[in-house]
Amino acid sequence: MEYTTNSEDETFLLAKKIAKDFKGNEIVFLIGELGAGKTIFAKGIAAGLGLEDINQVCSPSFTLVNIYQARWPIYHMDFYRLQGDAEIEDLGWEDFIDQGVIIVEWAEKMKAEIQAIRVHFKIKNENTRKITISF
Amino acid sequence: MYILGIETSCDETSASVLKDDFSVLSNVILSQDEIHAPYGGVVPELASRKHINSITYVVDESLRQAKVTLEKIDVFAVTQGPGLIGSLLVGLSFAKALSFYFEKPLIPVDHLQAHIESAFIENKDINFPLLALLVSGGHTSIFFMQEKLNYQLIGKTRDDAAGEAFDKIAKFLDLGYPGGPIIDKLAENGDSKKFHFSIPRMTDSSLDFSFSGLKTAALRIIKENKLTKDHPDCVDFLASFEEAIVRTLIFNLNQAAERFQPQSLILSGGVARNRRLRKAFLNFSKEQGIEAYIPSAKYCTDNAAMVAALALEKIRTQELASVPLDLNAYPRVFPFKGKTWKK
Repeated sequence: MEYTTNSEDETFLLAKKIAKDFKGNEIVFLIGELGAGKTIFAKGIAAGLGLEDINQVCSPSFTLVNIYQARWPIYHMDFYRLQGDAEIEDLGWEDFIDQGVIIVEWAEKMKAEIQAIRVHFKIKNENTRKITISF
Repeated sequence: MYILGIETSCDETSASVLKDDFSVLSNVILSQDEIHAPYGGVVPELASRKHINSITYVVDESLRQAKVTLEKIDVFAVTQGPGLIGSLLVGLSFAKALSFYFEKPLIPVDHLQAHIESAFIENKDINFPLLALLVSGGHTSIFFMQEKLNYQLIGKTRDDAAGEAFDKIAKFLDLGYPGGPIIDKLAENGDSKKFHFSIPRMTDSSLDFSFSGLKTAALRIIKENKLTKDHPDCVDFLASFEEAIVRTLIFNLNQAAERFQPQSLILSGGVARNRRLRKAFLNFSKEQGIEAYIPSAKYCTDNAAMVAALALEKIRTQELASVPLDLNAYPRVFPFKGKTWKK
């Protein structure tokens, strides 16, 4: 499915709406360049999953794994700094599968075939993003 | 009395021995910057694997430099969180095992609180109340302290940390890793007024930070001006970007100072080594007539001396009680959900 959002708020609300139908064991891959809106989308998912304080949803680029307690645990990860499947595998992230909702920024770094909801971001201009979601 | 501190929350393996008068007998930091440099960032399990490989050496070295043996250590202190769980667990498990074997107390400490404590290692008499601005790759926070060991988190980043913003722009321009120190150096002679950045403001009078807007603005400027690392305007761009981050930090610190009327200000964390930030911080405190403290570089970066120092402070003011050995690491920032944590 393809969407166009014209602000951070619209991106946030799109993600929030989609997450409302989640069952609690989804894996969501966020794919797009720097500044495309991945962290905002992750905030929206967290809000849709009932996280009260969405301000605690921050970029995990440095910390690598952020964990939030919403309706289910949310494992918010970032492969930005990782190189190659071996290093990603070493992160032990597969332990989180079926424990809650997994959100992965820079998921394209992983070559392995994983069944996931893939969200691609394209920057059209400063505020507008084309967001393609494949379930 | 001797205390051994261990820190493994991110990419530094560190061990330190302190005496009970807070003198630092050793502070060994094995930085993984060199290991990480080819990857352009912190590689986590490389990091935690490396902690496993290096912790015995680092602890041994800290004891050797302090000229004490493990048998002489009276208290073990360790970072419990926040941080990367796999990395934290290496230090925590190691400290637990020592505590169990030698039957000596184990004191867990919070990584962010330890960063604030680092300012006290070199200055015993910092006046309260105080504000601490903590800036690193993974964190950007302001804490208010009414008194010792009483931490109130009053502002934090809602998206990227300041150090992360430096790191990402540096990587985007292919400047190398770690991005912060490289930008600090390159931006030194740049014209910080050449490129305009709007300083992010919270609409809800909160003291929280946001750096993702600055990052996006920086990317737009890079694209519009076709900037590369060899472009003649690159140093001006870096100076302008650095200035924008510094102004954002100082703006919130100013807001916080107006509200909380502190006697002292502390700047700590890895990004506290940034020269433009240090200068702006010292200028601000001078204008306001508030005392200012910045730890030396070896205590700004992740280190175990601050861990041991905070544990000592806890022992000094509270009953010495070891924690149960089933304690676990915590990955998130404590206090959770805006609760004030008081000893």
